Amino acid sequence: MFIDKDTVEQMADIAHMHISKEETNEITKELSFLLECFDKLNQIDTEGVKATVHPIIDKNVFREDVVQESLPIEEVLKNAPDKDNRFFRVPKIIE
Amino acid sequence: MNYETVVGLEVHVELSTKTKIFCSCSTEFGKEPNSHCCPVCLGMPGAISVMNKSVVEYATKAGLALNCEIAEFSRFDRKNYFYPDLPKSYQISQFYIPLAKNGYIEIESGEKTKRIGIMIMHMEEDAGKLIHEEGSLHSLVDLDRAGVPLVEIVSKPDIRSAEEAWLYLNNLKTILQYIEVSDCKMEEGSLRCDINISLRPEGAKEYGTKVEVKNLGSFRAVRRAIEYEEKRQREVIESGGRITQETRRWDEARGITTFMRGKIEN
Amino acid sequence: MELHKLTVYKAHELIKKKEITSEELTKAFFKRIDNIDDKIKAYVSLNKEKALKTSRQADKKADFEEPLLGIPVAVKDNICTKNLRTTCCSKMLENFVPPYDATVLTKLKEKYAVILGKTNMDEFAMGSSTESSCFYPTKNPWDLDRVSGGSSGGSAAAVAADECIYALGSDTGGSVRQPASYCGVVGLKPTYGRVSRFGLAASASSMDTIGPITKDVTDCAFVLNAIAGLDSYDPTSSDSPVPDYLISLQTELKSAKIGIPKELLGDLVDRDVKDAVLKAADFYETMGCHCEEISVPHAEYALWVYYIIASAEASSELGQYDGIRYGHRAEKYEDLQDLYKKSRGEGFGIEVKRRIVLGTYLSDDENYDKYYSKAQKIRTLIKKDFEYAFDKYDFLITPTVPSTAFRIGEKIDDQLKMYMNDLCTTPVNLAGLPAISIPCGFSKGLPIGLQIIGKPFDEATIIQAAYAFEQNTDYHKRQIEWKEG
Repeated sequence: MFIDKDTVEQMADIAHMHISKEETNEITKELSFLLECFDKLNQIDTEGVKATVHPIIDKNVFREDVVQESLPIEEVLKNAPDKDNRFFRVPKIIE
Repeated sequence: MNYETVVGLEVHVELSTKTKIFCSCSTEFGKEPNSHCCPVCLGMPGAISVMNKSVVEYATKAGLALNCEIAEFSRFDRKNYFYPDLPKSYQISQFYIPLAKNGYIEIESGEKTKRIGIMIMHMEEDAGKLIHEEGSLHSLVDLDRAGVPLVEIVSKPDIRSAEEAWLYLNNLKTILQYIEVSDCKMEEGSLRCDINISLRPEGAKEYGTKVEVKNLGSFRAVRRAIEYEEKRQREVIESGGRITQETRRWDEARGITTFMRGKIEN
Repeated sequence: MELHKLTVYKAHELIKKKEITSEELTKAFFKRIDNIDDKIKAYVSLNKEKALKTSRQADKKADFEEPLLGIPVAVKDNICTKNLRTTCCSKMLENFVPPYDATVLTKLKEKYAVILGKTNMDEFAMGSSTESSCFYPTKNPWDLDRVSGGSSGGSAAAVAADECIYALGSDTGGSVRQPASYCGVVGLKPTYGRVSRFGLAASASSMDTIGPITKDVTDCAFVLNAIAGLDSYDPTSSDSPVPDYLISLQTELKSAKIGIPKELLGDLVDRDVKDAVLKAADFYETMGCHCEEISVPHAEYALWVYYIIASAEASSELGQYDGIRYGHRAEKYEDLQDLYKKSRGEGFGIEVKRRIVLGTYLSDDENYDKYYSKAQKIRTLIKKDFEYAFDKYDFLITPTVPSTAFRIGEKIDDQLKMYMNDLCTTPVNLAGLPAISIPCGFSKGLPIGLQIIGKPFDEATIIQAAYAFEQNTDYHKRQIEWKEG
């Protein structure tokens, strides 16, 4: 196994995403397969090769500091699962 | 045994550009909640961050005014985590190649002029605001501040007293206000400060364990917090205890620091 | 006249001559969708009322020179349409109604394009069969037991089944080209940055593109003309000038030099598919071109490089779907942490979860250099391979997919074969190049696609190469035999 269930559960936890026991098993199996395939890439010599971050563009793109209209509050909150007046609402956070 | 206080300050300064760092929403302070939001700063599907030119200009000016070396090539990185004030689930900041580094601010300490080193200065975006009401089962999220441009200025641990810290902050404020990149109003949140403080025996080369102190609302609070922590840490050491690496919260009303959370993750 | 069989070009001519109206055309499509979408399942949302309203507005416009005016289009459901539900075919966004249009939609709406509805896709564009949609799989109009491909399966099927005149899809690893190939239609992936991505729910932001799916190459040129160009809302969009792609609709190829990458025509490619591609090469030779086998040496690793980069990027992009500001929120939770975990656990399907877990693992401090950094470097090598090839050759040809459409449910068991689907398409996305898929043959009644790959921002050449082939063959004219019942 290139990856074990515990690690899969740990990653799901970091990603704040619940996965069931069956999903954990399936994902572990699939990821083990993939990681084994990825291992082939170690054969390739990449000494001195620069990473590609963007495929085509390699320059700064800026925007002028000019205010544009924001969304009206109805649109901002339109899809909110829970709201209170002008706010998004979430369970109490204790800091 | 005499102990030396070693302090580093992490200051976040809001740049006074008209729009946010990655979208054209207004940065105007004091408006109604969620009145300056768009698909980008709301983290909605398909929205893309577009860099505000003025942010780079203001930040560069700040770097120069603080005697820093300005990087010829600089980059943004993502810090991924989950919190309701973080719409994209990542904060765009600079970790590997910050905009500026190796600067200093001069302070007049007694008769002498002393340089407090600046390790790095980088650009990043601010998070939104969370409101936790007493007695409520909920917290409320206001994203007006999400995406407001910040520079984070991290000093070297060259500060040796509450007085020096106060002088550093005042000079920093004066400089940034003078070059008109920020109004530096701590009471409005456009300047925020965290303290890193440790003690070590006088003459020692190694640093002691540092404690982070947050929730400082004014320069005076910074001063008082340092004085309090100096005293608290000395008492711990002298009674045979050890300082643990932790984050503490300044309580303005009671004039003390209290434990907030344990060892900071890297 | 069967209005639903019209192309953009023909429909525009008839509207200009006032022989038909956009309203008639639009009504014909909703009738068509009524008749057959139960069988195909290409759509997930319909926009009937607004579409008819727009068609009537289009009919009033004097500007009949605009080719897309009043022409009905279907839009993949990961492209934001203002006030029209956009779900990415995920439970996470099942009820999400965007308050904004993607830039491509803004451009089409300026031309009074008629938005018929949103099409089915693999959840968050992760997959190559549309089977991972939270709603249902889309059937291949050529054989209803088979997949339409993915992730833009709904768009490709809708075009093939005449449920729209043209469609928009998105392509991150082959998601426009592969379903186009499976469904026997034309699908173009533009150069990265040629078409604005603003409003396209990000999957892998260094590779995502939006592209047209059409009945023929002529229509493809019309649509690309309309959607290409710089966009201030997308800083990755290019300011490279947009030519008039209609000029490329000519059959002269002037002794072009064509490369055939041997790594993409090897043992993994089905016999029939290989033969069709070699036959296409023969065709180009008769046109006066010169075809040669070439090597793109790192192409065989592209698949794994793609999955590493795509998963790592996706795990970051999908973090924003957290049930806080929009999207699915679990009904019961104990606290904030529980809210996140349950909402995302309930909102995402297994394929998405798989990619997020993988992406999170690959982005880990420990693994970052080993996998992600390494993959990005090999990506540079793949780019260089193509640059080297394009020094000598004008365009490259490969199969779009190593095989034809598989049966619904079939590939799920054979892992490697499933991934191999993307063998020929993923290298193109890694290098950011333009590529078009056109029908070039049939195998046991199922369409085969020819992929033509071009230099960056040279969509003109690949459109011309595609047009020349199309106009001298009639694969694109072959009709689907609809079985009764």
